[in-house]
Amino acid sequence: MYCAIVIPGFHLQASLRYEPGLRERAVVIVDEGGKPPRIEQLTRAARRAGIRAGMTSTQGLARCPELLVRYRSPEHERMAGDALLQCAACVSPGIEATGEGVGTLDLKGLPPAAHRQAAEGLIRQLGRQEMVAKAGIAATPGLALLAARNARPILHLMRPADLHELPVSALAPGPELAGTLRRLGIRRLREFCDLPPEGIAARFGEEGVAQWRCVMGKSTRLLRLVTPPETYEEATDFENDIELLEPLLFMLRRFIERIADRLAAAYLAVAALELRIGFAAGADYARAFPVPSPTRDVETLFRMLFTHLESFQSPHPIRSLHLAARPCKAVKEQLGLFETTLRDPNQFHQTLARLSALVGADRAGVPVRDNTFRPDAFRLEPPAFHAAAPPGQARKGSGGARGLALRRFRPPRPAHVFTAEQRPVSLSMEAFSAPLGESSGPWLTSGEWWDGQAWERAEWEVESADGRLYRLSQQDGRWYIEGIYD
Amino acid sequence: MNSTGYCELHARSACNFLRGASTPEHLAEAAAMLGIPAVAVHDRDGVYGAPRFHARARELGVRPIIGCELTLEDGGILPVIVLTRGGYQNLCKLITVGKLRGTKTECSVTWAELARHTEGLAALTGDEEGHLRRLLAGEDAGAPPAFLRKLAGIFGRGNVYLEIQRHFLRGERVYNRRLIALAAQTGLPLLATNGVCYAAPQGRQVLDVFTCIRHHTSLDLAGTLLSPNDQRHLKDAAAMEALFADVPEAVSNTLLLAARVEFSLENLGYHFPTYRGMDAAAMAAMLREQTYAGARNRFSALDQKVRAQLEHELDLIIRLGIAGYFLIVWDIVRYCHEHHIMVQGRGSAANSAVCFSLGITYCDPLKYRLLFERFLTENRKGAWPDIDLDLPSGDKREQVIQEVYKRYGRTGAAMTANVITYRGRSAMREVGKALGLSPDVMDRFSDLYANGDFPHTIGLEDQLGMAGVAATHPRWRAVCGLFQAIYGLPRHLGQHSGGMIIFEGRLDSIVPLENASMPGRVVAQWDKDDCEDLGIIKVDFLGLGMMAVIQDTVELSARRGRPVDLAQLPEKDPATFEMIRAADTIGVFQIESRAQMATLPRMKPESFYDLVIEVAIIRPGPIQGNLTHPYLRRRRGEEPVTYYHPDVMEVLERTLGVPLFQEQMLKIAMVLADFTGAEADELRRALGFHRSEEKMARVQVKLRSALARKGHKPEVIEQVVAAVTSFALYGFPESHAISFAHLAYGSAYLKAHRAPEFYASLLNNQPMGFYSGATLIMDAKRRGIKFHSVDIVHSGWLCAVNPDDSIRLGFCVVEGFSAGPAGQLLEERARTPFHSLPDLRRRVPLSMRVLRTLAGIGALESLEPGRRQALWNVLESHDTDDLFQAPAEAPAFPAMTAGEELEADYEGMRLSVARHGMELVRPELEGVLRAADLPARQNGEYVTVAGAVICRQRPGTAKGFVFVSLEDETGISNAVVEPRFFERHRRLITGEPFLMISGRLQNVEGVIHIRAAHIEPLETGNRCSADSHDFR
Repeated sequence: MYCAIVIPGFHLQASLRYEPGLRERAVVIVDEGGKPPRIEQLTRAARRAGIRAGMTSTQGLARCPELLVRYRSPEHERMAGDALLQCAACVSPGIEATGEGVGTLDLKGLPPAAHRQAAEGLIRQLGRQEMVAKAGIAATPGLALLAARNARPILHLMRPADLHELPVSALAPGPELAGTLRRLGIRRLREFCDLPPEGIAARFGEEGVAQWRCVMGKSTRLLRLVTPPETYEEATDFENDIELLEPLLFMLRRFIERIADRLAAAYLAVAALELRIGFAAGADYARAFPVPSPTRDVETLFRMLFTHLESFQSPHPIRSLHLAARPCKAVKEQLGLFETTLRDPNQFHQTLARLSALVGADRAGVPVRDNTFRPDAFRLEPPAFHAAAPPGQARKGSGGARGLALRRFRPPRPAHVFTAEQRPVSLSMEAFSAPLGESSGPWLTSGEWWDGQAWERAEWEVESADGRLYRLSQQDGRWYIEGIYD
Repeated sequence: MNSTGYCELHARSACNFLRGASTPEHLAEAAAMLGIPAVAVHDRDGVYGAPRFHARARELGVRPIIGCELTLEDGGILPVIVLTRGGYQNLCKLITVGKLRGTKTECSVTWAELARHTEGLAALTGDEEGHLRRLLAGEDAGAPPAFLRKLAGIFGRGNVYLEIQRHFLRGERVYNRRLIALAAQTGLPLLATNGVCYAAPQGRQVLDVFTCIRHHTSLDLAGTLLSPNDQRHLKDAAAMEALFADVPEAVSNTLLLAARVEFSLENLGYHFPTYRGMDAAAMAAMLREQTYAGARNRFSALDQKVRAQLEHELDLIIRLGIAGYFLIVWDIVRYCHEHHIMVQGRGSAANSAVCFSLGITYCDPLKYRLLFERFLTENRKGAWPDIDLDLPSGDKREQVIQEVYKRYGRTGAAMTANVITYRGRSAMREVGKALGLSPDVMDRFSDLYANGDFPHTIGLEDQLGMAGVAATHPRWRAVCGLFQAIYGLPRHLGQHSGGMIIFEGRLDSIVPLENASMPGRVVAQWDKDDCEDLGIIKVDFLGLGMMAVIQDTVELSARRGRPVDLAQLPEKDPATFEMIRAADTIGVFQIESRAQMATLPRMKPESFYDLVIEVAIIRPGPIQGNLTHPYLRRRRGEEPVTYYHPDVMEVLERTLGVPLFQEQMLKIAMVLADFTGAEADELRRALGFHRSEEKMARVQVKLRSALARKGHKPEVIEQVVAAVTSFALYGFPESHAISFAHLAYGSAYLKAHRAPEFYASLLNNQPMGFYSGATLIMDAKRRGIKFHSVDIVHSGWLCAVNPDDSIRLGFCVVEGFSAGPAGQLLEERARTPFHSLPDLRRRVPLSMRVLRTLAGIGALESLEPGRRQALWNVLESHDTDDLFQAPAEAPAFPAMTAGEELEADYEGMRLSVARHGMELVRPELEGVLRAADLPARQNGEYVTVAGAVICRQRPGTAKGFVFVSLEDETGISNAVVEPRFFERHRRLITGEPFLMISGRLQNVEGVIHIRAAHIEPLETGNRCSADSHDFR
């Protein structure tokens, strides 16, 4: 026997998991990839307001000005799908990711009397994960799926014929097949089953035959078994940027509860947490929290994050939140508090990971130049150790005469520069002051003018009276010494 | 020219599509402000913006120089500057050769072609995309001097300049040092330019967005594709001299080069086209001969008055040297007549007795006392009259256009261009893409335009807010700024709907030509305004759907044995006028719009001239000038007929003292202010001149003082000036109204007397006019005409009239069924009729999509009864051709319900001959009136109507009021929506296909409206509605 579990309106549910308060309001999910983008799924309140799937969001807003429009989030969907599989894996080791928001479980080994109970438990657990699910139990995966789509919330299908009064939409046919069946006036599965099988093959191709065999209970298949993801994650993008700690902690606690619930079902504990906070300004803050004593106790885990976030300050409002838990087998013994986890001394990855945990993930890695005119703009990327440069390949630009070498000051040193006729004539900083002779420049660059990150910069090369050559820069009205030429 | 100073000789305007961020006018203004004496504007492979820059620069005292960035076969860009007229002609030819070789967007000139056309041109070495920059970046030290030698060999040593630019960029020093060294080595002069891409520094932002558009990327991802700084703006002499203090000759050379430029667009070398290579005398003689030959047939009598008028016109035409132009048009018209293509000259040409005699127009200007000066005067100041020819839209018009190409050659005739500019939707789409806004946000922004940019009443900020970009959005400021900056800038070049310029075999020496995206079409790089400004004469071949309908109706009627001669229509046909007075004018030319239909019962036309007035009166001019209502009141005798002055009584007599036509305005100026014909025309042009408010003010002063000089009373002066000003801009020429009224009357007559043929022709020429095919069918059915749907056995490609006057729909109405496969089907059917569905499928390879559609709409029922049965059978894959295979018995499907049939009809044809969708929902609509019920209701009664929205209009003259037309199974009801109510329900009104509207009924003088007080969407399930005619 098989149990199919279906999250109806999966894209919408995946999104509203993080805004459960909106479930009773008129909310639609729009697929931005569509041309034009159209409403894909909607809440009951939206349907009551006269909104239908397939409308554009403008049409939806016409019928309900209070309508909330949300866009599909692949990230939310991935995590909701992961949660579904992780929950399902607690019921059966044989699980299949059948489709978006659909999983199928092989119930082999479970006594028939326990089938319904298992499905109920799974639905309850998904409920704690903020997802409303339906389950169908039947002899074949296909029938189980059909049953699940039409369950309230559980349908234990004894005979295929029990499905025959359902509408053909229960088959979730592709748009072309759906249109043809509609045009032929085939509304119920019974009418579909009554079509001659050879006629179906000649007209509806493989899809039609597969659907027909499925609904007749004549086909079964092996599940394409999957292993549920090993990392337990929760994440959300806030609709409105967050500036206070309280809502952030509220959401974090919810995340921890959900993760702990899934881990409990799998008899696992948290070995490490990784927190990532996205800011409105674009950058991310990331921090790893090793859990010295693996646990799934919500309070303990929450306290770890809370202690850190209490002193956390951000110059920008928070836009997104991501929490990932690395699971491990729950152990009963307390490990030594300072016991190293570096079992393998050659594991440079682990060293780097610890380094990242200490200085922040954005401050460890391999610097890569940003594609911009902004001098020194770079980002850090994880090292690609497996892709070492082939031997003999020199770095571009490393050879040949390229002018004088510049010793850069990191960071550039603030300086006072006096100008005459818009050119620098003297330079002073701390205990140093020098009149300037020749100068060249300014070299002007500017960019990112389209949002709050606009920058503008002028650079000069200047020669001091003692013959030294400096590179100066001017930004936001302030002068800096960028470096000195050898 | 001063010996010190600086001329910018490499500037790009926004007409260098996506490579420049300022309009040519803006560049000229900035140059004038900075005191730059001369500017060369370069377009990429074109001179698109040259006339606009020329006109504005001349006004401001800046010398316009023509440049061009030529794309050579190796991909390098070579900027050239035109020195002489010969150089300009060479440039036009080079561009034309390069453009006509490639697709619409490609151009490539070979070095060999360049070498043959360099006389009168100077070459610059260019900037980033130039050859020299690439060569200097390469490793071959000998390549740059070799390239310069090659260039000097082609252009001559004195005509090659090493272009040097400084934009305060690190690294340019090295390049420029090498450039200076090269100059010393080769002896070629340095030339400082700023490679200008925008007039002022803030233009850099627009250029960055354009760069993103060109590279299909966004600002966040574009990186170093964007500008490093904002230095590519126009700079004055002091700034450039400071920049090039070490090489002052680079700056002074700009003056020397500018001084060498002899050419200006004023001496373009254009002269009026000749007819078949004849000299002026021969053309004059031929024109006279053909005019008199025609006049004998066209005028009832060739009396003294006619002769005098013809002589007056001929004298002027010959003196102005445009006899060839008239003969060219006459020749084209003759071609149309010979090939049975309806043709009618419209516009001011109808004021000419010569045009009437030559058969170009159908309106006797003497009979209607039309003013020839509206068409042609001695002093046209560079602008020449266009003769506009109305042709049946579609293949026949294309046939005429192709004939013109055939006669004058691909380089002798071209369509005028139409510069497409960034408007609301396109501007937001591009800005949104560049700034990474969500596509849904951009769609929501566009949806708020309600299917048209004009007229628009939401502020940009509100519109952005409604689209989901709040003022707190980090990029909100950038969105607003960029949207406004880009709005109105040129986007790409299209072709004008019908304007053609002809210059027997030599047009490519006047303006570069290029391929249109439409096969077989060649387009000039200038639009019609540019051509007009430069004195280039053109012919407009305008496609009129109604001409095609009339021609088809006449031919169809003749084939059915009830011919109709359009030239012999009775002048006051009672049935026709009765129909018009009842506003039963759906499908009739010009008087079918909601506004026209609302006026007809008040106007009550009784004669042809009433129709002329009807056509002209519902126009922005008379409406804005508050002239419509006074005329209607006077017509009904509700107010006395008065005149501004006794002297204009004759001029205004026919319109009861109210000036409705442009000709009347001109005559008033001539009579009351002693304006000459030329002065009066100058007045009209100035008032209609959208580019200059200054000119408008100037002529108003002139008119006012002329009236005062004649001693008119101040109140008369004010009345006349107000009337002239208010509608001169939009006023309709009487001759134009007469031409349109001919078509209006002709189409009304055909509707009244040849209704089946007329409706069939209307359906065959869709899309056109105001109403969709579905609405036309409903209208025809109300007149008792029966329709049969598409049938595989009986239908032809076109809709046809059966002997019993019923109409059989043709395959042309079937969605996705194109003429090719349909023709194949008809050919096969003509050979042997189809006897079964398998027989049809075996003999004609129709696509599954078409077969499904045909089955769905019931077109296969003659071969296979039942739409569903037919659909089941056509769905069977037909890979094998087993003659002996017994067909499996089809399951029994229930017949489609009426609703299902309607849905299938609309899905397959966007119309249905069976019933209106409202008929099916009617039982569920309690208390909702039908359109046919409204006339019996009292004025002021609160009523509710519902229907498919077939028209949404918001005329610019209606002060923000919106008119919505709802169609139901009995007819059309009209609702008026107040501006504030519209803004509250904007999305609903503009987006819903079916509406239910409640409000007070206005039932006055047979005109019925509902003033909308409540509006809601009407749920109709899957039932379909016709397409709506929105906001045009």
